[in-house]
Amino acid sequence: MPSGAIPFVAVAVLLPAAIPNQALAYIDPGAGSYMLQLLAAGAISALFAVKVFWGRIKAFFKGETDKEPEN
Amino acid sequence: MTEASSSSPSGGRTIDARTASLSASFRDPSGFVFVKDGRLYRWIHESYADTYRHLRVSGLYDELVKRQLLIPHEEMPRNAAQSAGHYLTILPERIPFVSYPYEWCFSQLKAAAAATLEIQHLCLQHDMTLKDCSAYNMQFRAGKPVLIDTLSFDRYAEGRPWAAYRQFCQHFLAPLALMSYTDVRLNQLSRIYIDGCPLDLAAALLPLRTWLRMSVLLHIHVHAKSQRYFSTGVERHLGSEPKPGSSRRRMSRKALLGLIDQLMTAVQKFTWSPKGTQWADYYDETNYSDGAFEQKRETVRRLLERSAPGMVWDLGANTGLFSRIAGKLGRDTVAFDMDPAAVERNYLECLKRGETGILPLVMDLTNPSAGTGWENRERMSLAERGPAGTCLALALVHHLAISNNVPFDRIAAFFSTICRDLIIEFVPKSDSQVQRLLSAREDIFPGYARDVFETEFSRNFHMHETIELPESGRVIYSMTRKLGEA
Repeated sequence: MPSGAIPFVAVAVLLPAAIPNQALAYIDPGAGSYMLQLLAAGAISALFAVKVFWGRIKAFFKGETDKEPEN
Repeated sequence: MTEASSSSPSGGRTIDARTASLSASFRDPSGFVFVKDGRLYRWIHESYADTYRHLRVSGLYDELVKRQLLIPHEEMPRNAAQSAGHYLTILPERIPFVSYPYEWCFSQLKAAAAATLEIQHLCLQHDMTLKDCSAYNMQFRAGKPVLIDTLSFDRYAEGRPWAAYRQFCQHFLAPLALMSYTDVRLNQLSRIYIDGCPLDLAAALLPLRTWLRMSVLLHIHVHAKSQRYFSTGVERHLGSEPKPGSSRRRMSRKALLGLIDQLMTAVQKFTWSPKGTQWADYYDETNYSDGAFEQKRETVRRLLERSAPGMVWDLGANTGLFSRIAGKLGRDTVAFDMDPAAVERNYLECLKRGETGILPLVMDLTNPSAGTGWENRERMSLAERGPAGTCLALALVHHLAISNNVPFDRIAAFFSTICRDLIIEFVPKSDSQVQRLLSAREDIFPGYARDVFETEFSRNFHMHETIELPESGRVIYSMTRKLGEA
């Protein structure tokens, strides 16, 4: 499916350095699973930051005590 | 189960990992599980010593145990003579009944998935991570999912992705998505695929609308394509060998927490409601009057009180009405039913009532869970997990004998392998429930009669009591197996 492969081709071109360190796990993390996390890390991190920020705004207006971010 | 050959649970030199380890604990080089004198121990290899110490010193162990997310254990004293590579032996609290993901209802799998993610979240707060994410590492203890593998932890290395992400998606996320979006019975794929549902299969079975749901799109559909794309190795697609220390090859802790949060949200959003169940109205459609039904309950309670100690297995438990009687008597009870909707309702009812002694499970008695995995011994069959102290088989025999054509002698023989005491109900052919089963088929069951039932069951069981229930023609028997005399 050529259209489905486009994102991966783009990734291959744009992020040649995004090859993971060797995973020292006794189970096989799976190359595709490992790569997907690395490639999606930025977006996931940004979405999470927005969610935490939004949570703080809601908490502020609800008069709740500000909680420590989950990290 | 394999008996341990060790002379000492604290790591005596006679422990032989090849013979002592239980058949499900051979994959992880960090240690193995063995049984000695009926107690289950976990042997820890010295290569895991630092990680184990961090688990304890960091406070993660205490936190997880406090939250009932990890099975508590006791450390056994060290011997002077240790076996090669031995670091420590621990004695984890024993789970009353080991169950498997393909026996769980939707909400049980969802609870186990959420507990796994909560554990991983706490791990990251203590500079640790889950190194595996097998659904088989989760068991139900007092009604809550708990991690039973104390060696599932690893030190967290900054920048490294989650090694167990693939396993989490295959063991939890994909089955939940399939149960929620396609068909709840697809949980049975776990029986075939011991390392979880292949993501390409899940992607093919999920409806198109799941492409519109971000979490399913990323963690199943794109994940499946990523697995396929990189199946021949990363280097082939991206070129050169990685250079250690490259700052671009990282997944920050924040991103990892985001991933866990995203997966948790995905899990929590999966829903499934038992819209109709084969047995939903069963209790309303029996031949019992209110008084007769109350007498049946009282009879079962009385017989249970004097039955053999140990677990109670309620076979064909439906939504657990009679399991609750056993539970209230303080007996650990497993409530089996083949209908995922009935098991779901039972589980939710247990949660609502705070009943921790009852474990509802999906089980088709005409095809009970078999031994699976390596050598057919990684996951135990139903019979291997018995025998139960007492089995309840109420309003069940006619379904086995007539709907499934299983002769009485075979039913009796099977029951004698899975329990010591049996409380069983005979439903006569005149009963409307039996007539309903016969309404669309030829009656080829001339032997379906009370006297034949008693003769056949007497070959395997001593009969103690026979109670005829008024107004229904049904009879309840209390029996003890002859096999148990040996």
